[in-house]
Parts: sequence; C-alpha cells; structure tokens
Amino acid sequence: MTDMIEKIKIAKKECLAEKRLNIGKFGKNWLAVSGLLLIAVLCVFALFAPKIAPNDPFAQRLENRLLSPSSEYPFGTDELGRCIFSRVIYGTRISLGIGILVVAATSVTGTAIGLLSGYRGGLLDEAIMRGVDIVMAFPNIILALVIAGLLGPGFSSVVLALSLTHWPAYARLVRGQVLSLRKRAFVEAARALRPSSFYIMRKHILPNCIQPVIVLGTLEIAHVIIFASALSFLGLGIQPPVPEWGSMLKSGVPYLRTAPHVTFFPGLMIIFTVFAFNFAGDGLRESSGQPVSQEVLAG
Amino acid sequence: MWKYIAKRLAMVSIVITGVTFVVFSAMYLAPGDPAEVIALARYGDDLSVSQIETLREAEGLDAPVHVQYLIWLGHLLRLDLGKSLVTSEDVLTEILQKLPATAELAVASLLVSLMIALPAGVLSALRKNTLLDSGCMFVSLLGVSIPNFWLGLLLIWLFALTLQMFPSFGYGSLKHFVLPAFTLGTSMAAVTARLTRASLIEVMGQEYIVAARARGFDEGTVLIRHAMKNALLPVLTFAGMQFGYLLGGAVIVETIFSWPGIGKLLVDSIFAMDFSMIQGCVLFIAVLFSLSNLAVDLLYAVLDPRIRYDRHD
Amino acid sequence: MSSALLSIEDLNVSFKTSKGIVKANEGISLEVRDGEILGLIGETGCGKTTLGKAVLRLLSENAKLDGKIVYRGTNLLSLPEKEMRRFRGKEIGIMLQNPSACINPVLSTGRQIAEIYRYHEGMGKKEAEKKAGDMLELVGISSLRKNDYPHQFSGGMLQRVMVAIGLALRPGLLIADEPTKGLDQDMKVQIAELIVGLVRKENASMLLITHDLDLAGSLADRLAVMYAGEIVEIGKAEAVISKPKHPYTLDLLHSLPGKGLRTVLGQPPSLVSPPSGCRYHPRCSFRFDACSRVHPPLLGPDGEGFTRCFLSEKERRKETLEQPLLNAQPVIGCEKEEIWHC
Repeated sequence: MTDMIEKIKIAKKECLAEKRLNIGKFGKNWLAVSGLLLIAVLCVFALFAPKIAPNDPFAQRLENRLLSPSSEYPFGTDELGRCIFSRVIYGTRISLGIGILVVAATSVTGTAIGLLSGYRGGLLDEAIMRGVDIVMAFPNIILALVIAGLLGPGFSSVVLALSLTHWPAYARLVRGQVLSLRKRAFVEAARALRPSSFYIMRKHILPNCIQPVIVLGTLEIAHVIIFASALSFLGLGIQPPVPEWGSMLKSGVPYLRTAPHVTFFPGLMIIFTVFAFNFAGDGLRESSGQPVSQEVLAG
Repeated sequence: MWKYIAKRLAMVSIVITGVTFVVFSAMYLAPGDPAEVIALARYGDDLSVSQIETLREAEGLDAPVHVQYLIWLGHLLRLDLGKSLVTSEDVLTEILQKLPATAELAVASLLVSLMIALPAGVLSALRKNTLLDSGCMFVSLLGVSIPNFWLGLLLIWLFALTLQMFPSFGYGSLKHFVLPAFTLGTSMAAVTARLTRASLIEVMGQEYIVAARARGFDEGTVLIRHAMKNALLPVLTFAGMQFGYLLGGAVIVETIFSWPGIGKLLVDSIFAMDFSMIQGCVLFIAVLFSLSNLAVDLLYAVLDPRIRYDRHD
Repeated sequence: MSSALLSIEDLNVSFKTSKGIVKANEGISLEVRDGEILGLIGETGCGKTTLGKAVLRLLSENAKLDGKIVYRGTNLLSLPEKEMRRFRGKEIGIMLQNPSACINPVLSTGRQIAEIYRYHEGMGKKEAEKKAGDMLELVGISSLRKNDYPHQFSGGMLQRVMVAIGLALRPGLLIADEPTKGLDQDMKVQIAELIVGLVRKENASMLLITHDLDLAGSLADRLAVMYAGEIVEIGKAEAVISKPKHPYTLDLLHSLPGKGLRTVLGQPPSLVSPPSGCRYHPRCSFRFDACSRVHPPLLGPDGEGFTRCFLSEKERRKETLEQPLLNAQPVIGCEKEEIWHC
C-alpha cells in the first residue's frame, strides 16, 4: 500500500512537471509576444469596428470610385467608391469569427475523437484513424472547396466546409499524445485506483494533451483565415458586399493595373492577421518545447 | 521491407475506397434534386419535367443511393469517370489533358522552393542563434503568413503590369512559368526552410557527428557525408508531400494565372456545377495525392536502411 | 622509465550552462607513457568522458578549456582547428561511449571504415573497401558483413566496429571511453582483450576510461582515479588496487562484488558548486576538520603514486581504529585486507 501511495506521489509530481507553458521563456520570445500584441490589436479592431472605421463600409459613392489613399480614405476607395480602410476593419470581424468558430469546433471534436481513439485502441482506433487518413487524402483546400462550392456561398458553408476538413489534425495529435501518455507511470497508477476511463481521460490525459492542442489551434486559426479568404477569393465563400478580405481582393483584380491599392490593402490585412497568429503559435510551441512538425501549407 | 510495402499498399487501398465514398456522397450536399441540377447544367433554363425524368432514368438516378454508388464504383474500376455534364467530353480524357501543365508547374515550383529552402535552412542551422539565423527564420515565418493569391497578384502587378518582364497569365513558354512557379515555390520554401533547419540542428547534435569529427574529417565532409543524409530524410518526405499537394492542382495559383491545369479545371467545373467533372477531378487528385505519398514512403524506406531491413513492425 | 606520449598539464574544462558554470575538469595533470595502458576510473558524471573528449577537442561549443595537452611535443590546445584535424584519428584514435549512437545509422559499417582510408590516405574506393574488410576481420567480424548497417549488428559487434574505426589509421594513442559498457560479462572480457591485444600489438598506448574498476585493474599498467572533476589518485595498477591511498578509491574497491559490495555512501557531488576543501569529504569516513576547509594537493609520498588526501594510509588505519565508523554498515564477505572495516 505504501508502495502504491509512493507511486501516486511520484506520479503526481510527474504529472505536474509535464511540459507546461513556460511563461518566462514565452516572455523572452519577443516574436511570440509581438504576435500576442498584434492579436490583441485585431480583437480591438473587431470589437470596436464601428468606432474605428471612419466611413460606412457599405456606403457606395460612385463619384469617389478607385481613389488613392488620402486623409479621408486612408486606404483609398474601391470600385464602388467604398472606403477600403473601413471595410478592412469590419473584415476583421468576419475573418476572426470564421477562424475562431472553426478552430473551436474542430479542436473540440478533433480532441474528443483523438482521445477516444487513443484510449480505446483496437478496432475503433483503426476505424477512426482510417477516417482521418481519408479526410487527409484530399490535398490542399480541395475538399473544402468542393463542399463550399456545392453548399453554395455564404458564411455558414465556409465554416462548415472548413470544419469538416480540419478536425483530423487534432485527432492525430491527441491520439499520439494519448498513446505516449497511456504508458506513463501516473496514468498506470491512476488506472490501478480508478476504474472509470472517462475519469482518467478527463483528469489525467486531457490536461497533458491540452497544450499541444492550444499550440496547434493557434497555428490553425492562421490557416483557417487564409483558407477562408482563399475560398472567398475564388468566389466560393463570403460574397460581396460583405467586407471579407478575400472577396475584396477578388473585386480588385480587374483594377490591378490602375488601382493596385484595392487588392494590396486587404491582402496586407490578411498577412498581418495570419502573421500574428503564426508568431503567437510559434512562440507557444517553442516555450512548450514542441518540435516543428505541425506545419501545413496554406493556399 | 516487403511486409512494409504490402502494409502500406493495403492502407492506401482502404483509404482510396473511403475517398470514393466521400466523393460520391459529397454530391448530395448540393441543395436540390441531382437530376434537376444536372438537367439545368445540360439543357439550360428552359426545361420540362419530362426532360428531367428522362435524364433521371438515363443517368440511373432513380435507383437507390447505394445501388448508384456501386454502379459508379463499377465504372470507376473500368477507369470510366463518365462524361462532362456540360461539354459531354470524357472526364478522364479531359483531366489527363490538363495533367501535364499541372505537373510541369509542380516540378518548377518544387525546384524553386528547394533552391531557396535548402541553402537557407542549412545556413540557418549551421549559424544557429545568430542574426543570420533569426533573419532567415523571420522571413520564413513571414513567408508562411503570406497567402499565395496575394503574392501572385503582387508579382503580377510588379513584374507583369509595371515592369512588363513576364506574362501575367497563360501557358506555353518558359517565361510563363516564372511568376506562378515563384509564387508557389516561395510559400513552400518558407516551411521547407524551417524544417531543414530544425532537422539539421537535431542531426548535428547527435553523437555520431562528434564521432565523425573524431575521425579527423573536416566540417564539410562531416556535414555532407554524415549529417546531410540523415537531416534531409524528413525534408525529402515533406517535399514529396508538397509535390503531391501541387499535383493535386495548385487551385488558387492556377486560377490567378489562368494556368490550364487540373486545379483550374476543378474550380471551373464547380462554378458550372458539372457534377461528373467535379467528382472526376477530386477523385483523381485524391488518388494521385495518396499514391505520391505512398511513393514518398517507399522512397524513404529505400533511403533509410533502418526501415529497409524489416525493422518496421 | 619510458617517456610521455601524451601529457596533460593543469587542464581545466568548464561548461557554461543555464544552471551555472559546470567545472567538469579542474587542475588535471597526468601522462600516458609510450606503450602503456592508463586506466581512468571514476563514477558517472565525474568528468572522465569530458577529459577524453578534451584531448581531441571534441567538446561542445560551450566548453572552455585551458591548460596544456601535449602530444609528442605538440600542445594540442594551441593548434588551429585545421592542424588539430591531423591528430584526430591519425595520431589519436578515440572510441566514444555508446557505439549505437556513435556509428551513423544510415551508412553501412564498411563504408564508415572505408571512408577513413579514402579521406586520410587518399585510397581508391576498391582499395579502401578491401582495407575496411581487413579491419573488420581483425576485430573478429566477417568482412562479408561490411555492407550491413549498424542496426543489423548486436551491441558487442558494434563495439568491435568501434574498435576497427578507432584503430583504422593505427594511431599512437587510443582513447577508449567505456568500451565495455552495457555488455554482458562474457562479451566484456572478449572486447577488452581484443582492444588490449591490438593496442599492444601495435605498440600503441591507450587511455582506458571506465567505471569498471575490475576491468581497469586487470588490464591497465597504471590507474588514475577521478572524483568530481579532479584526479584523486594515480599509481601503478597493482598498487592502487592492493593499497589504495585515497579513501574514495578504497570505497570504490569495497563496492565491488566479492569485495564487500558496499556502495559508496551519498550522492555524487555537483560540479557546479563542488564541496569546499577536499571534494570527497562529505562522503568520506576518515574526514577531520581540515578536510572541509583546505583543498588537499596531489601528493606523492612514495615517488610513483600520487594521492589527493591528507592522510597517509598508515594514519588512516590508526584513525579508523580510534574513531567510530561513520558509515558502519553490515558488510558482506570481508577479506583479510580490509580487516579494519569489520
């Protein structure tokens, strides 16, 4: 019995000493910190868009079309005379919204599936992993493209298309974590005492998986935002007149020669946002000591 | 080794079967009656109810869904992907016609990417934690964050419209390759460079590198003969996977540059609601991607003796 | 007395780490003479591997070395890196610890030996491969296996490959770091005899780094005992084994099976902040006041052997008889020699 208690004590220590976020290291990583600051700025844009935007993002003034940046229109105007700056600011709401919604949905379902798969093992695991393989057999945004295209354009079909195609990364990650954790002393010790596997998963395995999931989630917000704007750019996502960055870019293409600012600024905003999440995610990854492996090519 | 190959082949065939199922059922996502949609695509707006019903029977759409799936699968096994609903061209022929353009672009962008990524990654790893390293990694993180449709448009604006050095769209001459290949190549290079760096740093920290130095080899020999092969294995896998991605049609870049490849074909058929063409393209892309990943795995096995000799369970 | 082939003079090695400066080697002075086998013993983490690597300047970039390492009249520490390379492998061969980590997993063993010949002796591919085959035969592996990869070999075989690599260029000195670690008793003896046989045949010298006192005692001509980054005792092998002068050596001997199997008490000291005075004093059964304050020098009371302890052997006997034992423990199997411990 004392042996058991001792084992649990050791296990508890081990559990606590897992790769937790190292705040000090994160603080020193200036890229990551600047990433977080940029995210904060974006959140301010999204929340206070009406206060920040100097003009109505939907107001068309054809006499002012394709104006170059000026004090009234900091980023100029588009082909319908709308203020690009205001539209870009409002666009933060759409892109962050899609990013957060999709990542929330996929990280939760993906994690649950991964936990189940890794902990149960056997035939269920095999079936789930083949399912993951099947979804991952569609390269790039092909599957999302087809789903969004068939569902018809719109906010919800973009979210659905991206959610349906982005969960496997989490499932794979979490399953891998579970498999390595399952053999560890503290889980063994817990199993000896508590028969409920739900309890073990919730209390012992989940907390140790959460950090890599957070890192992946942060990086995934970046990917999802790029993908969403790519869908809109192709005309399969958010449609005008909604101020989505991708569709704004698309509408600027015909005027690329005469008014490049129409395409330039929305793109810059995408880069800014994606950059922020990539930096924060990369910083999180480094301060939690995970290897560079969760990188996906976007577009 | 043979066991490993057999296992991988079995997995790929399971996955491809699953893929066919996904592709087939995806068509039911479209709102409305498939027969109606198809009729709409084929005959235009003025169609009668009897036309739809005839089409439903002709296309076998009146059968239960699982029967339809099995019939479709049967056609697939005979490499029959059906005919385009819009142009009535044979789907597979159409896709195969587009394949060379996509493949050429894939090769060109992969070359661009490796030419940038390998030197940058190796240099960063050898000079790790210096200004050069941080600079390279900053640029690469920036590269990962740039959506390639924006980069493509920027390049068009700068090199095609302003400087008029390269054509902004189309396919044909070597010059046409420059902008699309560069757009795709740079975004891949960013990730590849990071991976190369991480991998080489890990290998250079291994004891066999110290052991190689202990044999009196100069740093160049140590790097090239002892570190590179190990360090490049993961990079190779990654590059192979990216090649698969590209073969699947660099949808966006092909669209921007009007590149007559599979990606553009897919996007065009989505807009035309050309069901059989969409199915054909997606299936073709997924199968090609799975097979190229399989090829990468097998190549890895050939290059890494630890897998080559049946250590794999 | 034969002359020194390698002499290390007042060598200090420290590493800058996040936990502070690790002083892995401090004031090390020793020499390996022509044709002799010097055993370097000590527990894990005492700095003996660092010393072996320091000779060939193979330590990581955060290592700081000062002192002198003179090989055949050349101070290796003052050589530019390019010159240094001539000594690695060719003049001094080294077998690093843990062959499975030291042999490149993706190159065939034969190729790894052959490339040494191609690089250093400019041989053609065929010739080098033939020599590599010969070398494998020499260490007891069939040359038919030269195309096999490291993971296809057993631990003992890999150690043989390490011997072949270490001796490929017939160096004057071989540094062997734990060549028998992780092998079973039978294999240990075989490998040890193989290495010593080859070294003796070549008339080369060897620095044998090991924690295995038994092995070192039976193979080496002289023994150096290291503790917490310092040499605490050097002497002729028989003398050190039969009449240890330092309490640490004594405790090590007692920890051998058949000689008491009594472990050395306490934990190995930290090399970041080593104990004051004599580094062994916290674990020493013979300590007295001065030990915790004054750092003992390496003294040579009888010419050949040196020790870093204030007590001579005689005094120590007296001391323990008069004082209660600090680490009196039940002792299994006592021999006549160590009667004072019972």
